[in-house]
Formats: sequence, C-alpha cells, structure tokens
Amino acid sequence: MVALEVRSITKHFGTLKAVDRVSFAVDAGQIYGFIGPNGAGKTTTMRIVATLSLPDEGDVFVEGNSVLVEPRKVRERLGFMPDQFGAYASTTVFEYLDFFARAYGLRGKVRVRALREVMDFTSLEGLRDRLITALSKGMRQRLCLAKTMLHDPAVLILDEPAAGLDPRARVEFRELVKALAEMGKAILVSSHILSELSEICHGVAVIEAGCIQATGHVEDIVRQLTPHAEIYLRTLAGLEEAQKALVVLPRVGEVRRDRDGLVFDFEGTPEDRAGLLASLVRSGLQPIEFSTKVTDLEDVFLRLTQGKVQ
Amino acid sequence: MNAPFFDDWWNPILVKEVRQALRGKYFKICFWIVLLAVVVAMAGMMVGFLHDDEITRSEGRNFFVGIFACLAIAVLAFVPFSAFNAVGAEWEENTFDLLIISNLRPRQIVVGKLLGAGVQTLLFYSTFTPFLVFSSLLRGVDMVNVWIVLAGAFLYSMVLTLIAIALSTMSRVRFARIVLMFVLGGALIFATVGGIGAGTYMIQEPGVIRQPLFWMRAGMVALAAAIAATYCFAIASNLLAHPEENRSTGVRLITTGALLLSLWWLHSMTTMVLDREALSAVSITLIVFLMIPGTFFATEPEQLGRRVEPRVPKNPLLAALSIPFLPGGGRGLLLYSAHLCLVTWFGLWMHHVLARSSGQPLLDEGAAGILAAALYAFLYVALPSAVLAPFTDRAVLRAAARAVVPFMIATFAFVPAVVGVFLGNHALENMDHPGNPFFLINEVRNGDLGKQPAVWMLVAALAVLALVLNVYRVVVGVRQVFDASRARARRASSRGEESLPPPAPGSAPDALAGS
Repeated sequence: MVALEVRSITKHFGTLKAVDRVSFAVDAGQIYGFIGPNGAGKTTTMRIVATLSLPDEGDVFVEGNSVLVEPRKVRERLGFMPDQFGAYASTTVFEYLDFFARAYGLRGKVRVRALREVMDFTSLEGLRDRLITALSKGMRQRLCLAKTMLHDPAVLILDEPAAGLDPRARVEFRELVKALAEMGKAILVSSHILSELSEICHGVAVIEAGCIQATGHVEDIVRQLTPHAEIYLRTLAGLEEAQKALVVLPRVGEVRRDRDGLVFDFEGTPEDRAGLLASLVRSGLQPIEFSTKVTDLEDVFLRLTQGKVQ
Repeated sequence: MNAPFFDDWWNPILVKEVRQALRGKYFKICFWIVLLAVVVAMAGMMVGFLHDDEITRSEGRNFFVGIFACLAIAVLAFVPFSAFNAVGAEWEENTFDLLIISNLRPRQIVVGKLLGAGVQTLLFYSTFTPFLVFSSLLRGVDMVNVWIVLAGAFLYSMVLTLIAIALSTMSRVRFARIVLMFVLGGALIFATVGGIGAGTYMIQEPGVIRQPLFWMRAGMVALAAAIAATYCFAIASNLLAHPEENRSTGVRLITTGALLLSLWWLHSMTTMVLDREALSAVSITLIVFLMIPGTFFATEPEQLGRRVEPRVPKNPLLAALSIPFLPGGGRGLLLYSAHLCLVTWFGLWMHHVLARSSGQPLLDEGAAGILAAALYAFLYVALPSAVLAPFTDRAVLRAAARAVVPFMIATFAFVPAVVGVFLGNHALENMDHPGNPFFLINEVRNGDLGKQPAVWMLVAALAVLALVLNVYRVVVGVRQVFDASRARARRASSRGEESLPPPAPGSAPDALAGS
C-alpha cells in the first residue's frame, strides 16, 4: 500500500527551479533513500512533504491526504526529522519529549505510554533528566527521532539523520531505522553515506539539479544502468593469451587490462557466466580469479549525477 | 510519569515557557535586580522614617508609589521584553518548524506565550506583596485604589506583552529583529513611565474613582486597549502561521470588527456628547488609522495561494461575500475601499443627523474635512500599491512597497516645504500646498470650504487615476475567487467530496525515470 506519494512537484525560489517535476512513491514498511549532491533539492522536497513548504505545481499525498488540502491530517500521520536539531535551552530530555507529546495532543495514559515507548525504543530512559545541551550528537539524533515518533506517524521523513555521527552511532541509528520499517512505517531518508543507505533501503530516488534521475529498487536501477556484467579475470596463462581467447567468445564485450588481470563486459545470465568459466578452464587458461564486479549505490550515484550545482 | 487529569489540559507552550523562564538567566537577573531595588528603596525610606516623629499619610502613599514603580518596571518592561525574546528564541533555536507541524495552532502558541508572561507577572506580584502590604500598613493608601492600580497594571502588562509578541512575529531576519527590539525597548520605556504616572495619580488622588468622568475615560482606554490587544493577537497568530497559509483573513475580519465597534462607539458618543467638529475629528482619525492595515492588505501578493484556493466557498454568493476577506492585494484594496466608504458614509450620516437636529446645513466644514481625508487616504494607499503590485511576490519588495506609502506621504508633504524655503515661497514653506493632506482638511474645517477648488479637483483627479490603475488587479482578484469557487464545486460534484483526488492505488514505480 502506498503511504507516501510525491506527484510531479515543482518548486521555484525566484528564478531558481529548486525542484522540477519530482515524482516517487513509498510503500508502507519500506525505507526509501533520497540521494543527491548538495543543493539538489532533497531538503526542499522533504519540506514540501512535511507541509513546511508548498509546491508551485503538483501535490504530495500522505496516506491519501493532500498536503495542499489537508495539511493538518498530513501532519498527524507524518513525522519529520529535520537536518538541524531544534532544542530548547534549559530543558531536559524528558521535558522536551513531554512538551512535544502535549503539542501533538497526547493526553493522560496515552501520553505516558508514548513517552515510555519512544524512550525505550531509542534507549534514552537513562538520560531522561539530562539537559539536552549536555547530550552527544548521537544522543541528540536519538532524541530527535524519539520526538518524531511520539505521535506514532505512518510516514517518517528523515533529513540527513546520520550526518556527523560516529561509526558506532551510525550503525545503531541504522538499526533503529530498520526496526521502524519492520513496524510498518514508510520511511524517506536522505543521506550522503550511500553505503549505509544501500544496506537498508528498499528503493531509492536519485535527484540532481531538482530533477529525479532515477527512482525504484536499487537492483532494478543497477540492472538498467549496467545491462552488462563486468567480470574480472586473472589466469596463470599470460594476459595476451587470455585476451585472445576471450575476444572470440560469444557475449563477451570489450576486454581491457586491469592490474594483473583482465576486465571485460559480459552479457548473459548467471548460468551463462558459469558456462563461460567452464569454457575458460577447458581452453587451458587456468583461471585463478573470476569475479563479477558488484555495482553498488555509490556507482549508481556517480553514474547518474554530474555534480551539477544550482 | 504520573499524569494527573488537570495536568493534560495546560497549554503546552505555557508549561514550557514557565519552565524555561524560571531556569533562564534573564528572569533570574531581572528578578533579583528589581527585588534588590525594592529592598534598597524600602531601607532608604525606613531610614527617613527614623528621623520623623510621626509617619504621615503622604509618606505612606509615597512609599507605596516607590514600591509600585519597581513593580511596574518589572511587569511593564521586563515581562513584555521577555515575551519578545521568547518568540524570537523559536527561530534562533530551530524549533519553530517543529512547533507548526505539531497539532498546536498558531493562536495556541500566542496564548501560551501570553499566559507564560502572565505567570511571570504574577510571580513578581507575589514577591512584591509583602512590601505592598507593609506600605498599606503605613496608612494613606486607599485599598480600593490599590486593587484598581494593581489590576490595571496587570492588564496593561498583558496588552504590552501582546504588542511585544506581535512585533516579534513580524520578522525572522536577525537585523530586522534587532531593529524591532530597539523599537520595542523605546516603546516600553514610554509605556512604563506612563504606567507609573497613571498609578501614582490614582494613589495620590484617591477620590478620583468616585468621579463618573474617570470611569468614562477608563472605559474608553479599556476599549482601545481591548481593540489593540485583539489586533495584536490576530497579527501574531497570523504571522506565526506558515507563510503559505492564509495569514490575512483573520486580520481583515478583526479590522472590520474593530472598525464596526469604533463606529458603534462613535455613534453612542455622538448622540450623547459629541458635536459636529468632534465627530469630524474622530472620523478623520479613524480614516488615518485605517491607512495602516489598508497599506498591508493592498500590498499583499495577488495570488490566492494553493492552500487558500481549495477553501474558497463553493456557493457563488458566499464566494462573492468572501472576496474582500481573502488574501491578495486587489482584494485588500477592495476591503480598504469598503472600510473608507463605511467611515465616510457614517461620518456624513452622523453629520446629517446632527445638522437636522440643529438646523444647520448638511455639507459643512466638518463633512468636507471627512471627504477630503477619505480622498487623500485612498490616493496615498491606492496609487503606490497599484504601481508596485507586480513586485509584491517577493518579501523584500513587498516590505519596500509598504514603506513607500509613509515615505510618499512624507515626501509629498515635506519636499515642497523644503523647496519653498529655498524659493522664499511662504505658502510652500508653511506646507500650504496640495501635497500636505492636512492643508486641504484644515482649510475646509476652518470654514474655507469652497476656497480651494483647484486643489479639490487635483486630489479628486488623482484619486480617480488611482482607482483606474487598480481596476485591473481588483477584477483579476475577483475572478480568481470565482474560478477557485467553481473549481471546488466541480471537484465536489465529480467526486462527491471536497478534496483533491487521492493517489492511485499501486506500489512504488520501479521504472527508471531518466533525466
């Protein structure tokens, strides 16, 4: 079921087109990565989704509610974690969460339960009486996530949640996000740490200069971007001999030298690749390394974007 | 984490504000400074008493006045200033976005800030109570007067706090906020001095509360304060709403309500005490005051806004009635013109009533003064707003357009005077020229009704020009409302509900979008 649908939104700031006909959708229980270089339009899009800004054209629907027509209904079903943590001075962790629980209209036992649950989930119980100003960056991000979850939203918008976190805090935060998706929440998360996103995201949208370059499941994008598998081969036979043997084989594309081996494109199924390896062995090349290069999100990002700045 | 029943019904902003204020440096420093000042003042007076054989009634009064002055500084200056900073802190601390995407409505935020200031005021009161009781024990202070002064100071503090909150919501730009802070600081000094003066008068003249005139004046001041407070509340609530929400309708309705209330008061006063000259003066004052909101309304961006369009009434009649109250410069000018027409008509009508009862001619100096003021008021708002309307989409240019109106009035009035100094033209030097609105108004009010036909013609011609220049944007503004109304009616009839189409069922698209 689609929890969040962004439908062809456009946003101008003066003459600058910050977002240009951006469309994507996120299903319930999915984590969707939103990646792009700085100034690509990620935060603008996320602020539109969070009802903090309005599109000049297009619309956004959160569980079927339009951000244009029913912003209050959208806010009830949506949690937004901005890239800049907003904290009050002279306020403890508990007071901060309690304030926002009240601000979301939670009352009595519901509020008490919500506070207990989010503090348990984010492991903040032990820090409840600590001043926010005394928290580490990782703990602040947890607190911000806890605040975002207080009213049990169906859709979470996380803008650069892992920025500035140390490796341990990043891993812990990633686990929290995964757990939230398992709870059935649709999560749109932007980050520059692509290796982390690729581990947790079910789909991604790549944006540059306000335009979506690609959207969908990571594997599908990879498949469409790289229809040929890139294979690395190292043999006991000489490189020239191996190169000669390869170029005559069917489905083998351009062959080039790489370090002490060869790299070549191969068009075919995994079974075809197994057949290729068997034929190489039969031809006496004595392969000692035969590996398909894995195309990850970072490769996708680099291929799709050109570092355009608006 | 126990949650008593009543605990849930507090305004969350109030709870937060009180918590933060009591822990913050600002409140603590102010509190101890004021307390120290009171103790020092009290000690000084006590030393003075030691040299007296007997404490006189006037000494008791003076003692109370001294204590009240310290309390007034706290509640009339520190507390409103603290509220100004509390609103600014929401932007400084990046919490404002988090607030407006919660369930809190802007008016709850304003009420919370106001109540927070009220609690601080009461804390100051409770601290000062022993000193005030002590001063009453010194005799010479009428307890009824004391209660009236303290209650009045509390209400005055709340009105000043609302003004401070409204000022604080006017800009999020740091530089502009610093300017606003200085403006507020200056205004609060005057307000505090005035408050101390009024309180001192009440204490020193205990018999004043037995005079009916006092209560009539107090009633007028209370009415003016209530209108100002309501107005500030509406402005603050609207400006705290998201920039793309409807931030205009509330203020337009409040302005209309305040105008009707003022006209009702004017009607009551006219039938009781006012003569034609006073009626004319009050009407002209109203017209001048209307220029302030009128300038803001007439310089709004022309578009309805994507969040306002779906809320325009489906019913064509209701849509037509809502036109002047919906955001947009053209529609704003329509409302301003309607307000001007209402005041002018009302002033002339009341003149007619008074003229009939006294057998005087209908079109006398007072009535002509009202007409002249209305023409100038329309001209000075309508002309620049028509010329600058294409630029009001951008906030900076919008602010500039708003600044043009007072600048234009000042330029038209003073530049000829400066030129007159150099040319040795006494008429220009004395600002006796058509650029100065009060020239024509004073001329006609002084009995020279038909003496300036050329000036009348010039002002009327310019007003007509301003009207013509505005016709297009007013028509566009009206058309936008009817278009939005029809679009909403179409949506409702085609879908049976008043919302945009829900998303099509299906899962996330997997296709490569391409660039």
